[in-house]
Amino acid sequence: MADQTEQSDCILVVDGDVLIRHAIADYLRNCGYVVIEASSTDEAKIVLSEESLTVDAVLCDAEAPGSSNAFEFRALARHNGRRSRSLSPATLKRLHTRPPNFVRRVRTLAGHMIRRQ
Amino acid sequence: MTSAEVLVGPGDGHTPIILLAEDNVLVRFTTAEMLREAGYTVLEAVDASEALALIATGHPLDLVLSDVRMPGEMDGITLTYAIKEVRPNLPVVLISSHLDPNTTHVGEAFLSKPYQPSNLLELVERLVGAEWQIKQSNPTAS
Repeated sequence: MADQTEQSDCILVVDGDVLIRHAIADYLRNCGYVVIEASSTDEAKIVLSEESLTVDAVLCDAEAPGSSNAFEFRALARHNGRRSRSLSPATLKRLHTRPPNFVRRVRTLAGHMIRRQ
Repeated sequence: MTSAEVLVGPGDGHTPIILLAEDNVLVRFTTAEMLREAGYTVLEAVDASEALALIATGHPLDLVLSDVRMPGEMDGITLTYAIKEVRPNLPVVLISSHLDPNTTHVGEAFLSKPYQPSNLLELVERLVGAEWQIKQSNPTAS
């Protein structure tokens, strides 16, 4: 498993759209976070169940594909002690129209979730 | 090369960019982080369709690493053919624990799982920039 010894906060980004997922992940990496990308809630559950990985926060698309919907997944993530915030489709659409504002908001949200732990 | 493609290379001083197509989330993350720690920028795709979607954006790329067995309509071998249609000189490395050595493919290299991280990094270092070098030596190459 990847070495997380540098202690950077780790964010799990869950989104079925590779371009949106990449844009969010790329921005968060540039902000100094370690980012794990999951394309579905099923992949995200595999990540959360991996004991060698420390996930500090989860950003999940409200319409992420997978056998659990985003809200069921959110409950699971919280049960595992992670902060989770679902992003609505309307919010995600802003990525296409106002990317700088959107990604800045994602960064604020991620930092907020991590500080609250 | 279409107008949507951007071709930059080591001479432009950019961080080499690798597209990694792998359906196993833990293998994908581990491999991507290893490459990032080695100084590469890594784009992650869960399957061939995601890989092609990223390529279609015209994002600069120096190398593609692809698992052979992936879900969806395309496996890694078919993906390689599709990549070569649009970026014939973009190097592709196929990775698998199942590939028959006699299987025909158009990738530049094949890496058998399990592999040592140093083997992957050596291969990547050798192939990154190959497209740029071909373009430099033959500006009319597609």
